[in-house]
Amino acid sequence: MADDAAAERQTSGLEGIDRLIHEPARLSIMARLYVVEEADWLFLHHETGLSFGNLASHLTRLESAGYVESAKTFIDRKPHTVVRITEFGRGAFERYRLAIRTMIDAREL
Amino acid sequence: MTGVTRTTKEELDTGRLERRMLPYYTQDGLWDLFVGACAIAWGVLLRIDGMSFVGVVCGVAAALAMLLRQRITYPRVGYARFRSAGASRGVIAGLVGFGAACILVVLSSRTALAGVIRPYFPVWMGLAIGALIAVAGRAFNVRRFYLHGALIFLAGVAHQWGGVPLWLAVTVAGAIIVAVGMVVLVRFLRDNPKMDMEIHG
Repeated sequence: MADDAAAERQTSGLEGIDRLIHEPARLSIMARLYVVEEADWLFLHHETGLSFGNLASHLTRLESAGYVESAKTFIDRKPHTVVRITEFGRGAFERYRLAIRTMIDAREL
Repeated sequence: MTGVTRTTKEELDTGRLERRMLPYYTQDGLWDLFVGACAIAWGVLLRIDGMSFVGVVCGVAAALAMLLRQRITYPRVGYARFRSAGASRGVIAGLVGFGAACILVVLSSRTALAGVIRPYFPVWMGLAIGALIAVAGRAFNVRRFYLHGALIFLAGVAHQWGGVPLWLAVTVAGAIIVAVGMVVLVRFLRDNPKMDMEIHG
């Protein structure tokens, strides 16, 4: 019973948390895109350790939510895609970060 | 909070995450090679009395470093542009301009400060350029740039109190920096095989 109550407290604290960002792989991508102005897939692959397939699937979800945007550019005359966080995504990440910190602080009290 | 791992905490602390990611800019050793090449050019141009070309040579070295980044770095570890890097570059460029203006104003004056600086000009110059390199090291979180800065300062000291010709002291400092850059570059090439960016988006 005590374990059930503890579990209930933990899940109830997640109300108001953006589930799209809360997923570890997407959080990792969003945090890195928050820091950089723009980055390509290879950089994100190196930084997050995600496979290209995983990266594609998570970036598609973030893009469809309007959190990130992609743009085709050319480097050394070869086309490649760079990804940026949108203002909407930046705001969502900041709200998510605030919500998680508030929750951690509340639990540490 | 059991759900928040150490990795997640780092991702929430974007300042710390950024400090950890910033060495991306210098992990290939190309900026070490650029700094070393500029120092060697400075030394050689001092020797042949062609200091008016130092700006051109440094500009060509910077353009070459950026071209090599496109050929060497991006296909291996990807491309990223940091939000803070632009600001840091602006601060460094501002410091260079401000420092150069101060030196010109002070040296052309007849003040007591000019009297202090003029006899020890190579030391002050080494200190100013060395400090600038150290500031760049601090901005991009790369400690070996402190060593590069110290080497440039020591070149000025070696000339002032060691009797070593300035051109030789600066060229040797530049050669050491280039050697460090080469080691970093070789390690980078060994640890990061080339990947095809077109395949991966």
